[in-house]
Amino acid sequence: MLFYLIEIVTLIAINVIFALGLNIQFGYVGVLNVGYIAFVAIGAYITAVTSLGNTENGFTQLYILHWNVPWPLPVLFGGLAAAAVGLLLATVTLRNLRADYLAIATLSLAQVLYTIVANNDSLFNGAQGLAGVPRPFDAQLADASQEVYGLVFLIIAVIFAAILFLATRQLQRSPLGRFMRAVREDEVVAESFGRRPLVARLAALGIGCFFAGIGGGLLIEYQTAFGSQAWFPLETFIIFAAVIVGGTGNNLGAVVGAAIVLVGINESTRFLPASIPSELVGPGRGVLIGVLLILFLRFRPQGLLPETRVRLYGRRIETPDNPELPTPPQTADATTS
Amino acid sequence: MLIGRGITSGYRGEPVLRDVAITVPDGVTVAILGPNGAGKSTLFKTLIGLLPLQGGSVHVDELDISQMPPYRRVRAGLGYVPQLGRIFPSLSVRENLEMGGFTLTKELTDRIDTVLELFPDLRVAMKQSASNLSGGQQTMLGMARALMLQPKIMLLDEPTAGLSPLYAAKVWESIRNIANAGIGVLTIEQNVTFALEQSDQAYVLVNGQNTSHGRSSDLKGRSDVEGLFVG
Amino acid sequence: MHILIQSIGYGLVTASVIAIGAVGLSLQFGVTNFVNFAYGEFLTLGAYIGYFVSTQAHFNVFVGIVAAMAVTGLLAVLLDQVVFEPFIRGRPNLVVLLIVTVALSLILQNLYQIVFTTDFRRYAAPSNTQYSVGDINFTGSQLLIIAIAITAIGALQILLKYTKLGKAMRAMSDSADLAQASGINTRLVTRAVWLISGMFAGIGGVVLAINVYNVQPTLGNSYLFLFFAAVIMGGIGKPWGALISAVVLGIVIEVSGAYINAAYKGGLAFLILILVLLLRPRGLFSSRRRTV
Ligand SMILES: Nc1ncnc2c1ncn2[C@@H]1O[C@H](COP(=O)(O)OP(=O)(O)O)[C@@H](O)[C@H]1O
Ligand SMILES: [Mg+2]
Repeated sequence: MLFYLIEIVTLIAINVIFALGLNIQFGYVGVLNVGYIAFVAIGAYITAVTSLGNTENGFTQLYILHWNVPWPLPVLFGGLAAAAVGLLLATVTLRNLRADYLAIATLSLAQVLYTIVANNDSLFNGAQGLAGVPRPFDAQLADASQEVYGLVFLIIAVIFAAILFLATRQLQRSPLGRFMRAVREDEVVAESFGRRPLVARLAALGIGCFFAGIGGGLLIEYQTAFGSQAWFPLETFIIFAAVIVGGTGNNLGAVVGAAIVLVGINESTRFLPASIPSELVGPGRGVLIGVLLILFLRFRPQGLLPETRVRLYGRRIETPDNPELPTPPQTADATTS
Repeated sequence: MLIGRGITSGYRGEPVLRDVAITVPDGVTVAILGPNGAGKSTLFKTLIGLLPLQGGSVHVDELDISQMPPYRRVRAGLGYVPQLGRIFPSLSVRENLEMGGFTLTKELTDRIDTVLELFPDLRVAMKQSASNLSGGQQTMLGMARALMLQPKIMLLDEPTAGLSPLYAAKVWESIRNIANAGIGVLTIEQNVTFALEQSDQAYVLVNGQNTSHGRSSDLKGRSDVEGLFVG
Repeated sequence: MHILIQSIGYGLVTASVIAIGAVGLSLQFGVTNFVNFAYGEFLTLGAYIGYFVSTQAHFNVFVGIVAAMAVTGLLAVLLDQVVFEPFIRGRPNLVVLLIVTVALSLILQNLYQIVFTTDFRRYAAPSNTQYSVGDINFTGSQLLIIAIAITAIGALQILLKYTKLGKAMRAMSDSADLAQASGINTRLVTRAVWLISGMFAGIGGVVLAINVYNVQPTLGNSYLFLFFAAVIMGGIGKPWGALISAVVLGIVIEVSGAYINAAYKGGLAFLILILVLLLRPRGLFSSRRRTV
C-alpha cells in the first residue's frame, strides 16, 4: 500500500510537470501541440544517452552519444533538447497565424519521429528503447530498500515539480505571461503591447517543450527504461485531459487535473469487473479519456478551477489606473522567462 | 421599414453597443456617422445577425427577426454589403450574383438581368473572377448581389471608402436609384460633409451610443456633428 | 532506370490514395475552417466496411465502396450534428474545435480496437492480373485505384463548378459570414460538405485497403499527415491543388522508397511539408507569397 502510494504520487508529480508545460502552450497562449508526447520522448531519450555512458548496465543496446555526465545534467539536457526541437518546429510553422498549422506540424513530427526512432536501432535502440538508465543517487543508495529509494525519488520529483510550478507562476505574473494571454484573447489588443505575437507563441512553445523534456527525463530515470510503446498518442491526451479538467490556463488546475486524471485512470481500472478481457482495458481507457475531454470542453470548458480572467478588451486596457496596464516594450526580456 | 430598438451587442459578451435605436423608412437613405471604433460596423453585423443581440429587438415591418440566423434575415428583406470582403473572390462575377439569388430558381437569369440594369459596368465582366475587379467595381458587385432577392432594406458598410470622389459620386447615384425604387438604404460614411449632402437622414453614433439624429440638411453645419472627425 | 520508372508508376498509385483523402479533407477544411484530425479514422471505418462487404461477404469491390461511402458519410453527418454543431453555436476558439476532433480520433481508434480487435485483416485484392502501361507494370487493382481516384475527384470538380450547392461550398470557403449574409443556408451546405467529405473517406479507406492489402485500427491515421501535407501544399480548400500535391508527394515517396530505407519515406514527406510551410505557407499554387 505504502509502495503504491509512493509510486502514484511520484507519477503525479511527473505528470504535473507535463501538465504545467502543456498549460503554458495551450492554456496561456493558445497554441495546440498535438505531438506533445514526442517532446517528452526526446527528453527521455536524451537523458538516457547522456547518462548511460558505455556501461550498458548489463543490457546489449545501441545508442548515440554514450555520455556520462553527472546528475542532474542529463535531465537538463533532456529539457534543452526538447525545447530546441520545439523552437525549431515553431519557427518554421508559426509564421502562419493559424493554430491548425502548428497542430498539423506537431502531429506529423510526432508520427515521423516515432517511425524513425522505432525503425532505426542505432539512435535509441529501436522500438525496444533504452533500459538500465542510471537513477539519481544510485551509488549512494545501493543498499536502500525499494521503499526508501522510492521515497527519495518521490522527493526529487516533487522538488522538480515544485520548482517548475513556482517558475510558472512567476511567468504568469510577468509581462511576458500577460502578453501571452493577450495574444490568446485578441491578436489586435496584443499588438498594442508593442511586441509581435509570434514572440509569445515561440516563448510558450520553447518553455513548454522544456518542461516536457524535463518530465521525460525524470520519467525514464524513474522507470529506468523507455521504449516506443511509452509514447503512444494516447499519452498526449492524458496530459490534455489533465489541463482541461483542471482548468485551462490555471497552474493549480494543472496540478489538480494531473492528480485527478492519473488517480482516476489507475483506480477505475482497478475496480473493473474481472470479466472484462485485459486487452480491452487500454482501448476502453482511450475511449473514456476522449469522451471526458469532449464533455468537459462542451459543458465545463473552464475546468474545475477556472482561470481568473484579466480584462484585456477594448480601450479599457489603456486607462492609466488599470492594474493590467501593458508594460512598455523591453528589448531584452522577450525570450527569457 | 427597419426598426431596431434598444440594441445592445458586442464581442464575446463584452457589449460595444448600448441601447441603440434606429429606424430606416422605405425609400429613404439614412447615413450613420461616427468616429472610428464607434461601433458602426458592429451595429450592421448585429442587424444582419452575424452577432447575437444581447438586448433589444430588430423588426422588418411587423416581422420580428431578432432571433433569426443571417440567411433568414436576408430572406425576410435585408441586404448587406460588409466593410471588408464584399465579394466571393474565387467565384466569377456571375456566380457572385447567383449566390445572392440562392433561393431563386427559374427567375434567376431574369433577376440578374434586372439587377445589372443598375450596374451596367458589371455586364462585360460576368465570366471573370470577381477578384479581378477594381475596388469600386467590387462594391458595385456587392450591392448587386445584395439586391438579388429584392430586399426591403439595404445595409451598406462604408461603400465609398477608398474610392475616388468621382467613383464615390457614382456609388451614391446607384444608392439614390435603389432608394427611388422604394428600398430603404442604411449606409455608413467616413466623410461627414459628403454624407450629409447625399443622404436624407443621419444618425450619429459615438462610443456605441446614439447621440444625434435628424434630417441630414438640419444636421449640416452643426459643429458637434461635423467636428466629429477633427478631434 | 527501370526501377525509377516502375517506382514512378507506384507513385501514381500512392498519389491516388493520398489524393482521395486529401481532397475530402480539404473540402471540409475549406468550408468549415477547422481541420478534422479524426479524418484518418473515417478512412479506417471505410476500410473495415469494404473488408467486411468485399472480402468476407464476397461482394464486388464496388459494392464494398458504396457501402463504405454510405456508412462513413453518415458517420460524418452524425458527428457534425451531434458534436460539432453544438460547439460551433457557442462560437468557440479554433483550438477547442481542433481538440474535439483529436479526441474523436482517439475515441474512434480505440472503439475500432474494441469492436474489430487489433488483428490485421487481410483485404483480398480485386484483381492481380498484370498489365503493362508503357514500361510500367501495374496490377489490375492498382489501375482500379487510379481510375477510382480520377472518377471521384472529377465528379467532385463537376459538383463544385456547375451546381448551385457546389458554388455555395466555394462561396463558404471564401467567407462563411458573407455566404450567410447573402441568403445561403450555410447549415445545410455544411451538412452536405460533411456528407461528401465522409463519402470520400469511405472511398479512400477501401482504396487504401486495396493498396496495402490489410486493415487494422490505425490504418487511416498513419496516412493522415500525408493528407495534411497535400492539403497544405495544395492550398486549403483547393481540391485541384490537393490533387497535384498528392501526385508530387506520391511520386517522391515511392521513388525515394526505391532507394532509401522505407522507414524514412514518411520523414521525407514531412520534410516536404516543412519546406512548404517555410517557403509557401499558403500553398504551392497561391499567387501570394508568405504573409509576415
Ligand atoms: N471581431 C472583433 N472582436 C472584438 N472586438 C471587436 C471586433 N471588431 C470590432 N471590435 C471592437 O468593437 C469596437 C467597434 O468596432 P467597429 O464596429 O468595427 O467600429 P466602426 O464604427 O469603426 O465600424 C471597437 O472598439 C473594436 O475594437
Ligand atoms: Mg467599420
